[in-house]
Amino acid sequence: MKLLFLFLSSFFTSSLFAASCCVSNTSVSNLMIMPADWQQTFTVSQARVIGDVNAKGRSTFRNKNNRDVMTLAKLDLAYGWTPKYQSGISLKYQNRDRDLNGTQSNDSGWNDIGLSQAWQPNTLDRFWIFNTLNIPTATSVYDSRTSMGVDARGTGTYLSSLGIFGIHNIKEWDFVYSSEVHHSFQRSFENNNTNTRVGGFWGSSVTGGVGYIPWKSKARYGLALSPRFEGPKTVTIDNQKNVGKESLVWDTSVNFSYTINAYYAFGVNYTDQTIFGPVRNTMLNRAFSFQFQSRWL
Amino acid sequence: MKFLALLFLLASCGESPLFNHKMEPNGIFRNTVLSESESLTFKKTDFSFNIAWVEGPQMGGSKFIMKTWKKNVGTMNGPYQDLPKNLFVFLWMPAMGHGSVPVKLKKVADGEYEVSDVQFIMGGKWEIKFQLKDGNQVFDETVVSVSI
Repeated sequence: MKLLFLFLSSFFTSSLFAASCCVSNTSVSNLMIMPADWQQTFTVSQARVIGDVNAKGRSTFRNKNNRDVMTLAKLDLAYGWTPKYQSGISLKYQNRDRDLNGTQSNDSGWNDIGLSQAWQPNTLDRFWIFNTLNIPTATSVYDSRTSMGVDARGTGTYLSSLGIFGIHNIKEWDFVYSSEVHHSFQRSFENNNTNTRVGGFWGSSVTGGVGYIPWKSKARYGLALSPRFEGPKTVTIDNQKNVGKESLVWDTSVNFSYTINAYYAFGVNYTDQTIFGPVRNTMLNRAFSFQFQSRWL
Repeated sequence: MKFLALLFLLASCGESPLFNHKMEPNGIFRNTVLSESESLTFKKTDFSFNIAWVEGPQMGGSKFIMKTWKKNVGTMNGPYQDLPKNLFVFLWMPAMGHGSVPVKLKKVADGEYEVSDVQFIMGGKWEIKFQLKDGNQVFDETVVSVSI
């Protein structure tokens, strides 16, 4: 029962599929929390931008003629080198569809590549220390060239995080916690005869979640709350310095997962960034995702 | 039911966007930023200019005409003269720390430029930066703020 329990909890580590702008997500998207050689998670998701929040925290929800939808297919692979150490890779293909008062723009392409590694100090404790690295292979808001910026998929910068992830269970309930700090490294872009240098900046997030597995059931019902903060960015364009403002957003997630057997599981997840605040200087999304996970022992 | 009540309470306490937001107006709307009869100045040169919006400014595509004149020769009504350095126009969102896709700049007559594909990709405070460049070096700059 405990193994089943953990397998279901692993969907908690899946990341939100929000807009490339504003606050980056640096969680481990495919952490193996049960002993296994390989684990793969295939995810399809759709996120819609609901509104924009300014630096003072004032929210404006978009009207129905202002549509911004991101559809994403994601493949995560993780490999356990030893019972205590694992690493993973994440590949994402994304479509962004923008429609504003009848003007349409659409673009598809690969998103950034994500690498991760995790270490479990004691295999009897359900506690991991993880590190992620985002490799900015995709176009970002700093070098976007298409109408309405629909080709801005990636973060634009190398981004590395260090964090912890743990699970504690009491009877049918499980409690999931995670915390991470990330740093984005300086990077320069040559675009339209202009040199843009994005300075390094820091960010952080914490996650708290609770799950319930009815007795003898293969299903898990979960809730999670995750505030995410990103520090101000300094962007220098042709030697002129521009200092931005910090961003803050709260992800509220409701999820359901079902374990088919020891090798396969699936889950559905709904994440809403409009429920909790305060929020600052960001876009607000609502996202649905479906995940299918398989493991090789 | 208790859970929903608790969720509502928590969301209300923390400045929930769901309960504290305004709606974007329907249809194409125009943001008034500055009067078309207002002139702007490049500080290091003796040139002035004004802009007249043809479309927008609005989220999505906007377009304006920029007219430039030498301060001691012309006025807002002409004669218009070309700028002494290369003109570069770009959008910037200061709070977010990013810009937008490059605008299209086309000279339509002496001292008259059509600036199209001006894409405010999200709502918020934007800046339109008008730069005079000497190669890659910014020689002079004037910034116009726009709320979208």
